[in-house]
Amino acid sequence: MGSRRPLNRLFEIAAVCLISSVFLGWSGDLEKFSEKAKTVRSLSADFVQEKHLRILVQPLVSKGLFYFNKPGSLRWEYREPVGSILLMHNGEIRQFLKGKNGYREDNGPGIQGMQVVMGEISLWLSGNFRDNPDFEATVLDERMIVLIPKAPSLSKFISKIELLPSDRPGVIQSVAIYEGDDSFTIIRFENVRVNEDLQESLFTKK
Amino acid sequence: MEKYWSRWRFPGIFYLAILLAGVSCSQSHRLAPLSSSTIPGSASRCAAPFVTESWQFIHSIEAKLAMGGSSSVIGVTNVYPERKVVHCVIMTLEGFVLFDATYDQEIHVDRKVPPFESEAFAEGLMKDITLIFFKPSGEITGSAMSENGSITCRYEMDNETVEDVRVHPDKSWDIHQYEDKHLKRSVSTGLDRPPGMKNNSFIPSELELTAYGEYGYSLRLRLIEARRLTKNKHLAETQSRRELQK
Repeated sequence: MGSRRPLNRLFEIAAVCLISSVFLGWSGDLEKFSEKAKTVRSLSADFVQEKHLRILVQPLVSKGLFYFNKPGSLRWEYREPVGSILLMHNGEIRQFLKGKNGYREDNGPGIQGMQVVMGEISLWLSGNFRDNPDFEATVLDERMIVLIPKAPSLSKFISKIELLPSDRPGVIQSVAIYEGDDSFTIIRFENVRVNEDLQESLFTKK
Repeated sequence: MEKYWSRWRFPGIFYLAILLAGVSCSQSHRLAPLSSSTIPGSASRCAAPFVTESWQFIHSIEAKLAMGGSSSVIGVTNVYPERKVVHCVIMTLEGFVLFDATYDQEIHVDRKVPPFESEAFAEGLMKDITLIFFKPSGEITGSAMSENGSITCRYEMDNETVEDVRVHPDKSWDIHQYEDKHLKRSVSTGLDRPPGMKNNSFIPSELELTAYGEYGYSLRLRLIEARRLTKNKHLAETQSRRELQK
């Protein structure tokens, strides 16, 4: 693990946070998360992502759709401003980018990081926050979970992650990933559906 | 698990960084002679592709590599032509910042994630941005008009670099940059302009930059957003950077 490239680790952790954060049910008690997570079979949601950067006049807003089926099928799809689809199914991971002539397969950094995400997801889905080798989890004001990277190599890229659960069990309102004081990403989940039957083709076809 | 991190298996982003760091000269594209006379009005027509005010551009950037494969990122570029200052951020589609640097007489890198950490990469990137957005720094030493009305201006710099800027009647344009009389880079645009910016030649919806040679690459930039920047934005950026440097 220690020899992974920082960029790969960055994507791996990001993907894990994005995916696992939607699973949380909030009662102010970190230990109860694992019980909540076990009841979730599938999840789907719309999301709005805001990238905040010092350079930007206004945050860069991306919108998309998210689907997850246990044990490890994922579709993370950006609809705008740049269309892209990340698919994970049966341990195989592919990414497609929308161009003038439709979608084409991409070899970018996202695909590299996602190759090892699945193992980490299993850990998070089991609710093992305390045992997570990458982050120290704390609860702030009984309303927010704050994840602080343990390893200096990781903290160079992510300073902290804040998970804001909603009042609805099994649903999180938003996740904020801080790269630094003036660079952070906020993802808000909307229209979250829990335990719906999701077609397998969602995770295999672009 | 380590096998998944092999650059040979997933080469895209690593090659992107490596190849942008150093471009070898083409052996086949040589600088063609151009009349040393100057066509009246050519200077102003040839200046049309370049920014004259401060702007922020956000592009999706697709990199195609000569040896195959491609990769995509998002680029945010603030250009301040008055002092030829550039602030550039490259991030993944997911929003993670890979590279953040400013060019203001010299390059200052605020953030660099491997494999984007080399000085050569930063220098190459700033050269690409300068070529696309800023009017060449040299003097016009010749110009020509084609039968279809396209006008070409040749700018010669002090360092054996020559740039031919060609503006077509339909307001599309291209740039060819030569070093030691060999074509090193070219930039071309299509006809499309974003809504509300039809008259701005320097804001095409798409740009393509090609670097020639054995390790050539091609970057296709698709405009996501363009905003005119206020003077205060530049001052705020400068102030923020100084505070970070303390």
